[in-house]
Amino acid sequence: MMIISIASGKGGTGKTLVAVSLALSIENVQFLDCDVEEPNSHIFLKPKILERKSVYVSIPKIDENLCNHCKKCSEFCEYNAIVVVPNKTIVFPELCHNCGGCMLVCPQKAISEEEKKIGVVEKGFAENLEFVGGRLTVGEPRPIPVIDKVKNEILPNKNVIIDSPPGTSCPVIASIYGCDYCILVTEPTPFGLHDLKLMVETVKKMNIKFGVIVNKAGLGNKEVYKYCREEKIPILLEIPYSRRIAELYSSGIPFIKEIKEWKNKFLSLFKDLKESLTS
Amino acid sequence: MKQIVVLSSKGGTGKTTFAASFAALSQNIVVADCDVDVAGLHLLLKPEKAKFKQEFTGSKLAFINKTLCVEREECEASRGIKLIWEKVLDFLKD
Ligand code: SF4
Ligand code: SF4
Repeated sequence: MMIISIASGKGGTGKTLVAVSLALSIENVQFLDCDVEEPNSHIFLKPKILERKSVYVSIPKIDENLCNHCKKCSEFCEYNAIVVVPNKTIVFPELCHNCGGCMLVCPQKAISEEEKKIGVVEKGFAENLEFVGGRLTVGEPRPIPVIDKVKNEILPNKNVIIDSPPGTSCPVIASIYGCDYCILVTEPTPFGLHDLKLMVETVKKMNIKFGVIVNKAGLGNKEVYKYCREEKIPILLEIPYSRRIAELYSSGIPFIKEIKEWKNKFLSLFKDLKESLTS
Repeated sequence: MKQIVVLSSKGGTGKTTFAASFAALSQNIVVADCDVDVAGLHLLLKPEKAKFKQEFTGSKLAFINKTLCVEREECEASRGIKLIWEKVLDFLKD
């Protein structure tokens, strides 16, 4: 069994489309939507949600009866999440990174923790696959705890497909960390290439094996291909820039369902990856 | 001074194209690419050599002094600091 994550620096290159297509083409799958800020794999998969778990983070809570306003906590906090004014100690939950440090340094033991809900993990089924998706509450700044909770649901006996958020920063790192292989989806445009390079740097640093899928092939120029050739990065698949695929996409239908030969393409891609990883 | 923000939560909808088009049509304008993670506006606007370039430092980076560390329970238990550390160290080592 293996864990494959789908990522791309640039948004809108087709990560979700690729993740869903791959997941629907193979057997024994668990699908993880780690794009907890803008999850939309459910539009393609239409999962039946059977279970919802709230995600909480711990936020410091000050007992004003014990606090003597010594400022040790606010001096300690790297994120300026605690401010001590002469008669009050105020916590800013949006800034807090839940490190727990203020609690350890408070000489008065005036700090305890309270839970704050920041999102939800949804579990269910869609067709032949198990679905896990995270949702960060709008207005909450930190997606990582929700992503971690989604990843906690990983089943060891499944082929796990992870739809990662766009970009190259923390949420992406958290999503793809620990996977066996990362598929980078790009488009053959200067924007696609620019962000692909950033993403390649990221996965290389993380020592994750990776390859590229070019979506909207036929559009733009040949620079992405040139770059991949020069860097010896395998191009696993090209999905053409076609009206038919775009139409299906805009109706929320994964194209592999309507254009059958594509299912086989994804299936053989999966088999090849599996072989290359086990050999 | 008027400030206009171009936003969309879905990627690839055309934020940068729109912002660049607006920029090309306006005079006396300051354009800020706030997509600091995967910036793209410069690919369209092709700004000339940067007038200034400044290193940005965020918050401090913690490190563990292994000779002093006694691996106390609270540290490991409280939200897996050790685990995060392994992640960070993993990530930093080339
Ligand atoms: S460290 Fe404790 S006693 Fe001192 S200001 Fe903070 S909460 Fe109050
Ligand atoms: S838990 Fe950490 S980040 Fe949050 S207020 Fe306390 S010291 Fe600051």
